[in-house]
Amino acid sequence: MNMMETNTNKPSMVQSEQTILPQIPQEIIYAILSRLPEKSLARFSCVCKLWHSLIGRERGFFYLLPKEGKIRFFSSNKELVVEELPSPLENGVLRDACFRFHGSCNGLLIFSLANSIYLWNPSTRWCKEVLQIQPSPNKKFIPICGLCYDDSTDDYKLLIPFQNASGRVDENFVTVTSLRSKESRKVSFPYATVMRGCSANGRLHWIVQEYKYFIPLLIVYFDTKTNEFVKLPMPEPPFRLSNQLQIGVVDGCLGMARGEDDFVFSYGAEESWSTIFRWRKKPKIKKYDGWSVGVPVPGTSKELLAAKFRHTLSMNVWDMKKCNLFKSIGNIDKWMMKNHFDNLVWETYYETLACPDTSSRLLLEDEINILLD
Amino acid sequence: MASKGNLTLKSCNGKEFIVEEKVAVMSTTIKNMVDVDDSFAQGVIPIIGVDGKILAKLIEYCKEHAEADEDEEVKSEEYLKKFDEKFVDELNLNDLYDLLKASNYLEITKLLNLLCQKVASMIKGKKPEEIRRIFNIKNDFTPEEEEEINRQNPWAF
Repeated sequence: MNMMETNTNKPSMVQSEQTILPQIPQEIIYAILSRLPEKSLARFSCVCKLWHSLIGRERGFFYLLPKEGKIRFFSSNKELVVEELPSPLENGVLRDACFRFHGSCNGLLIFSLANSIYLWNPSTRWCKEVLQIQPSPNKKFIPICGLCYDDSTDDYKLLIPFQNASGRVDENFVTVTSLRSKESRKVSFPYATVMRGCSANGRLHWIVQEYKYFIPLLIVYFDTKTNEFVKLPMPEPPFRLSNQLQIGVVDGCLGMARGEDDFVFSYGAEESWSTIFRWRKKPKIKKYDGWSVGVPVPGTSKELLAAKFRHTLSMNVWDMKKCNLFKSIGNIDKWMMKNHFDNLVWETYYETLACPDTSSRLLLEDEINILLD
Repeated sequence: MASKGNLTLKSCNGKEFIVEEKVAVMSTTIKNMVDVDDSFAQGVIPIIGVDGKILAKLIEYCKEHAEADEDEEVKSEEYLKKFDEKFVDELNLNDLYDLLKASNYLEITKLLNLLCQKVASMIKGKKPEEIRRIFNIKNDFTPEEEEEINRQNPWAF
């Protein structure tokens, strides 16, 4: 009797100082999580199953396809069944004329349409224009840019390479703009051009050509601490005359496949390459076919490698742990396969809630134009 | 009875507040009620599940923001920012929780954003076990599953 009275009189005593919040509705949890930095999100994905599914570090792959002036976006689900994604822009119709996909970082995809660069998170349907680049007669914008994430400052950085009109490779540079502070800086970039980019664990890697028409391709990454580009050493033999160099994310690290190798490599935390996959019977890849390295299938703990074959009209996915063919995806979309397979582009992306500083303006052109003058 | 242009809001413990309509309709839920049914605009609007203390807080917030929306010169962006900071800093965890729930129910988007941001900055450096304690969450992973998830994100710790 006495006990009961104590309890009813002082309900607040049941909860201690370090108050425990009663059940918070799921939509509020989601709203809170979407405001956390990537590092916290990754740490909190083990809190419970609900948080794990909300944070959704699971990954799928993504591609787009111009057809009759319209671009469609697709993503695979857990069973590698392909689903169409809603268009990132409100008017729904994206014209393909000046569309280009640049890569992804922490689940944020970066694309450009004409002179505008956009960031897009397909998981949250957040999409925002970050800047417009006005071409200038003496600085040419290399039409690929990249995004990296600096976890020490919880900041995204947008990197845009420019070619000097003089044609001198050593005068090329990259503008690096912080999405948080909006500050920009110019960083020397002594390479002829960027072929392709990939962010692994927030670190932006670019496949670059050192000189024009000089085939051996290199991988460089941007070091956010020193604000410099660093060359990655290549596994032996270092130079192959191949344009089949592809990079992707494997187990959180950079993965790489070269046309003539029988292996797939990954560049791990110990800053060296290791072999992670070996074909028993390697498929022949023709010039216009493509690899996508590291296309993990969510929930299967399999790291996969995918390739598209123009001539067989299929995409094959290998299990990197068992080194065998996991699944061949034919007839993703009959309409697409029939007419427009050539235009398929694909990318790995994470499903995340990542969203850079949405409260303030994101248009950065003033900052970048100052650097270009 | 509220005069024209004012609305009466009633908390779940019976406290009544007379507020200007422009303040009350910062809440999308109230705005919809008033728009759809004219009798709400005349009579008393019951605010279910929100007690007097929390309702007073909500009104304090909405009043400042409604006034700022109307006249930017009197209440500048700078002023509002300071007000917002002070507003969330003075909340204890229980009030924070009640306000979160109430602003979610009443659809006061600006306030909900502010409160979520506050909670996010409170928890961002915490460890998973602290998060479970704060949010009263039971860990439903097996130790093996938890290890596997953490293995995928070694850089997060």
